[in-house]
Amino acid sequence: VKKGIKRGWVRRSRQKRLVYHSFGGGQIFAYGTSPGGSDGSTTGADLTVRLSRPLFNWEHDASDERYPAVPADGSIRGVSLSIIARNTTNVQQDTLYVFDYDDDTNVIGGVASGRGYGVYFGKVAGHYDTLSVPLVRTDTAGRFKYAVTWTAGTVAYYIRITGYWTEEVA
Amino acid sequence: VSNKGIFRGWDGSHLNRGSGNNNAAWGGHGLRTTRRYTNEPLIYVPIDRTTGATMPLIGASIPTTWTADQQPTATNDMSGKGGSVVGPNRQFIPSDGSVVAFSIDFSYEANAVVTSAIFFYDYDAPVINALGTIVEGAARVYGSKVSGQPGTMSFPFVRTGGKNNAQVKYAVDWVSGTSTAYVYVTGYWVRA
Repeated sequence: VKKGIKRGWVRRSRQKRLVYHSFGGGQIFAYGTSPGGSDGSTTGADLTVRLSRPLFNWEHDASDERYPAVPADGSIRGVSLSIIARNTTNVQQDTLYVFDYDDDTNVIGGVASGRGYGVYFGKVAGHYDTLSVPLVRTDTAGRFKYAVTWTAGTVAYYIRITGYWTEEVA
Repeated sequence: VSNKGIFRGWDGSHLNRGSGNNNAAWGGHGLRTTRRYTNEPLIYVPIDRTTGATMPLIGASIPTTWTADQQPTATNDMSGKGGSVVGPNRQFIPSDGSVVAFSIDFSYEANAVVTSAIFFYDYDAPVINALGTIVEGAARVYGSKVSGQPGTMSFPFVRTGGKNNAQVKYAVDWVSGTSTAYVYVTGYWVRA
């Protein structure tokens, strides 16, 4: 129990109200296959936890004024995502995970623990599975962590940014 | 910097003019002068999913009651529709134009082995100007690479517009067979 001036104090990062900025249904941010190809920023054929690229220099469709450039001033606190994956082969089960940036359990370069959001796929060859994730916490550059499991065949996965969160300014 | 008076020393660099490319201060920093729909605080009103209740249903079955192609189409007006629970807790989608966005659950399947999908767009998405073409910017779920195997997704935020501000847009990537989609409004967003 905190006393004195810290009485009632908790991590403000968890307490701030957030403002949501929609990107509509989402624009492609990362995609790839596992093992093998990628979009240049990703991927591997294992459970390795990877760091997404910074969001603020993301070359999304800025021609659509509904989707403004993402702020580079460090105000980003999280993103919302749509994640989709499938496998060409009928495998036991694969998973596409996304993790909060400050998830201490899932360390970049380490093995994914399964904590975080995940979409399961691959039990039926070729079938897509989809998950919408409302809030994945990022660093101030808009980066989050993710991992892809792979057992056989070829995995195809897609991560779309559907919006981002900033701290509310009074 | 040529501003005078209270604007002296202010160069406008934090002003979001809404050009789509001048948003360094986007996210509430600086002045909030444009694109109110993106920055304004919103309140979410869930439609209770009481046991046995049915969410307001936008539509089902493709192509019998839905457009069976890639042409983006507006849904019907969902205002005034409510869950099936009768009583004081029954909730209805407002008809006063106050709705800003829907949250939706949708599932999609086909009875043929095809890769097909259903897409949902903000009502004000420019895709309506590209009839016959499905583009990025849609919430989507794929179904039926396995016959009869549905894909399902819950999506939190699709902007509404049109009649009573209670329509969204959708498109179906229909290939063959008969596709079936179930789309429910699970809640809505209004301005704070």
